[in-house]
Amino acid sequence: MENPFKKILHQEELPKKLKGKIMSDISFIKLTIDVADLLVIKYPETIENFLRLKEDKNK
Amino acid sequence: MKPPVKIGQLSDEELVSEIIKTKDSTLFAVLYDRYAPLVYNKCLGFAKSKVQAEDLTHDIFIKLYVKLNSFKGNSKFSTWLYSFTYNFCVNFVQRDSYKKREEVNESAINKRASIVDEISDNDIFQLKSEKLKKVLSIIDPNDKMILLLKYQDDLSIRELQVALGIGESAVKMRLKRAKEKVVEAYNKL
Repeated sequence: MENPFKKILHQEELPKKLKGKIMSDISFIKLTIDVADLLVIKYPETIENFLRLKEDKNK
Repeated sequence: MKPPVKIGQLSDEELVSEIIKTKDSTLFAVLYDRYAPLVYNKCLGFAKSKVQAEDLTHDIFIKLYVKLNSFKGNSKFSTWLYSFTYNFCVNFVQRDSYKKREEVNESAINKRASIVDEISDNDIFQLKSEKLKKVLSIIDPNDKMILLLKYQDDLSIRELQVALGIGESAVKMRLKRAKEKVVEAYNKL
């Protein structure tokens, strides 16, 4: 027996311009995440390690 | 050193784990090319216009990029993506019509008590597609989601359990209720 659910599935072509828009938004999100990671995690880590090195030398 | 593997040859699951590891947007573009037409056509089933479906597709892929690491590989990626898409669409539809839906639900629950017999797959397959389309736009989007997953994407009960995150009996119960609602609405049309 034929399945009516398969018949109602749309077969439209996806607009090409959508991809560019999505990819540029994704790049922006990636940039934001990377900058946040740099400022919030990597910089403080570097400074902390740097200070610890100094402390070790002073001992 | 591992020999370079062509991106096109990677399976969906491998591709996804690479994207999670590297956050590479070109890899995500490959994933987009594989699934965007499918997602877009699913959105068309929920949206009122093509423009709305495009917006939905856009939002789904943005959310997908951010939430990709919540895919744990318990099921096929396509199955996971279907439920991700449907959940997003259902939320979108419900946002506007929450109150209206509540009223419909109550009346449906009262009348449902009269239907006792289980509805078989054959009964469902006898429905006419044009009328079915109308019925699906009327009923609760959550019921629509489970029916589409079962009959359009051919998910098994086991896959539905994973996709919806509920137990076997809960899946069967929700399917049964959804079928009852569809047949009831279909007969009223």
